[in-house]
Amino acid sequence: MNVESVLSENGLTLTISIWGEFNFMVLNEFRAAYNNDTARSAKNIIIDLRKTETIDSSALGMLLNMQRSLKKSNREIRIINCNEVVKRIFAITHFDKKFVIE
Amino acid sequence: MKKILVVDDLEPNRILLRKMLLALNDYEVVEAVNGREAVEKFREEKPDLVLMDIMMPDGDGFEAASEIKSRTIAEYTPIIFLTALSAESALSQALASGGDDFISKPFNVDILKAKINAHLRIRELNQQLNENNILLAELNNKLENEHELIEHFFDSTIEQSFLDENIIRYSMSSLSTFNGDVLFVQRSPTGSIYLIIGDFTGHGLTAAMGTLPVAVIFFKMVEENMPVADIATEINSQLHKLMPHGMFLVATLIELDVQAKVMSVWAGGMPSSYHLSASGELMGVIHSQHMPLGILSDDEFDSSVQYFEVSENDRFYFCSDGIVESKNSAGELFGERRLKEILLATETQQRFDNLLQALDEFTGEGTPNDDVTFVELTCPAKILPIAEAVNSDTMVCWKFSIVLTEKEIQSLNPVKNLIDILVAMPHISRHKNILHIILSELYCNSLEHSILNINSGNKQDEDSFADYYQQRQNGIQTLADTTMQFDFSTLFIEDNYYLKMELSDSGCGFKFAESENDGTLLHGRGLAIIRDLCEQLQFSEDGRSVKILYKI
Repeated sequence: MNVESVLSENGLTLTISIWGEFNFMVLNEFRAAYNNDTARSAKNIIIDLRKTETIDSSALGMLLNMQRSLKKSNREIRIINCNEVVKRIFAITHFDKKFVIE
Repeated sequence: MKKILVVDDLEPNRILLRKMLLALNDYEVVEAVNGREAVEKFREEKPDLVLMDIMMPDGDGFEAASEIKSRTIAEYTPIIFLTALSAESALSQALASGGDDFISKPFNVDILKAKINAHLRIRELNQQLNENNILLAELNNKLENEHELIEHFFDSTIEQSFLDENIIRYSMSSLSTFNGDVLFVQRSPTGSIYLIIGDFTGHGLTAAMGTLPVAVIFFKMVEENMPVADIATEINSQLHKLMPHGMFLVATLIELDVQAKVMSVWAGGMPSSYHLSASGELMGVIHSQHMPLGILSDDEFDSSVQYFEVSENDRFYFCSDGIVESKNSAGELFGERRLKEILLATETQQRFDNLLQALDEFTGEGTPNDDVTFVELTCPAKILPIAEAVNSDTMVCWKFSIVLTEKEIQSLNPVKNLIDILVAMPHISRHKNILHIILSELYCNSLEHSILNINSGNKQDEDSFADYYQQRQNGIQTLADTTMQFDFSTLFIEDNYYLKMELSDSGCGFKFAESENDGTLLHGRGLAIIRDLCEQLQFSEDGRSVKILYKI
């Protein structure tokens, strides 16, 4: 399993972590992580990339898809623990303007 | 056999005493004829008791007695004066010179026997006492050495710890470490703060021994950014294997993710920890949920973790059971309730000191709180920078080529295999992540567009996005006579080293017109990324060949 999602004790924050390579190989797992009732009821979504070694342009597409899918409810999506390279990719592609990247 | 030294200048007296002594017991008797000879004989023969005449030519009995006594401070050797003097002044002088007793002439056998036996008995007791003292001193030395060893170990592990006083304040006596208390704090590469506080069952060296594997596992896994559930699992597994039955570690293990403001906690057997907001409000109590570490086998172990949301400047209080189990003079326990009341009743800045002071007052002044470990953790506003190692090697030029056919392309992850080969080359490993991205984009571009001829304009919404990758998967399965050739080499241009990568494929090429993307389209981002990460990006052969230069 390369995608893991955990709900906080108070049920408000859903944290999705991606292990290893974040690309189309985890497309279905990633979709399953946000495409469910638990995710829809969470107020905040955190994408934790601490265990993500590398991402590619397909991952950017997957993040956009997620944002669109969850857009209806007004919740915040934050991307955290990006390594320097991942941060650089987000900056190059201006993702830092569309997501909260910490 | 006891040895008795008889000192008298008159031979008849010596003969008489020798006969009497031999009649009393199987003593070994040695003789001296004056005070000077008495001192010599004493040194040579080391007798157990001395019978000493007082009035003798060439060194009287008083002088000889004080000389002998000055040499035998550590060991009690009784000196009994033999005297015809009855004047009280002479007797007191005899005792003052170091004598232990006296026997009046003429000798009475019963008195002689009683006094000799009494003094030899005292000497024996004294010898035993000395032996015990020596043994005790040895044990004490050993214990002190053990203490030093453990202190040294703890000092060096604490040095490894991350102890920024704006974030961590702790109180931990060296004796509590000897009692098996554990406290390690470390930052991970992404800036999370990890902490383990715990207490081994048992005391002394054995308890402290267990902290060694805990320290090794903790620091290594924090360096790898592992989640607390994994760290707890590993520590439990090692302790379960290593520790004798019945010895275990009660512990709370936390990761404070400073970025996400989330704290994950694995708590097994420790007293509750408290979470207070910056303004002193009680945000939550962290209760222990698990068995202590080292008891359960790997299959039985429960690594589930509690998550807490955290705000900037929130404070957490962790303590060992030493605090709640502290007793006052009436035998009353300090208790969790008192702990919580004090924490909630005091100002943020003074809370840490106030609690320790309250504990001192409770147990009574002068009673050391030897078994107490107490920690305050403050959630920092942002991640603190971690210094990066700088690496300057000399450069060597090299080149190599790799050809992938449909067989490799159908394998699970050819890009990862290529990267693994590439980073084995000199000077490449520190660029691994960026090169991985570049190579992955180049590979996908060539495979999806030139070889498989899929239109990325199809990636318009979530479902067609998934279809696109389904098409790709299907396409890969039916590939035939396909090649992708990678040429890697290093170049030296104007004082700089570059990695050159060329990729040529057997496909039909693709139109490399710059796609317009305002950031909302689901495609067309790959080339922008490559262009930004590389010094140069160049297509040729109608898009069947691509070349990049990357500065290393």
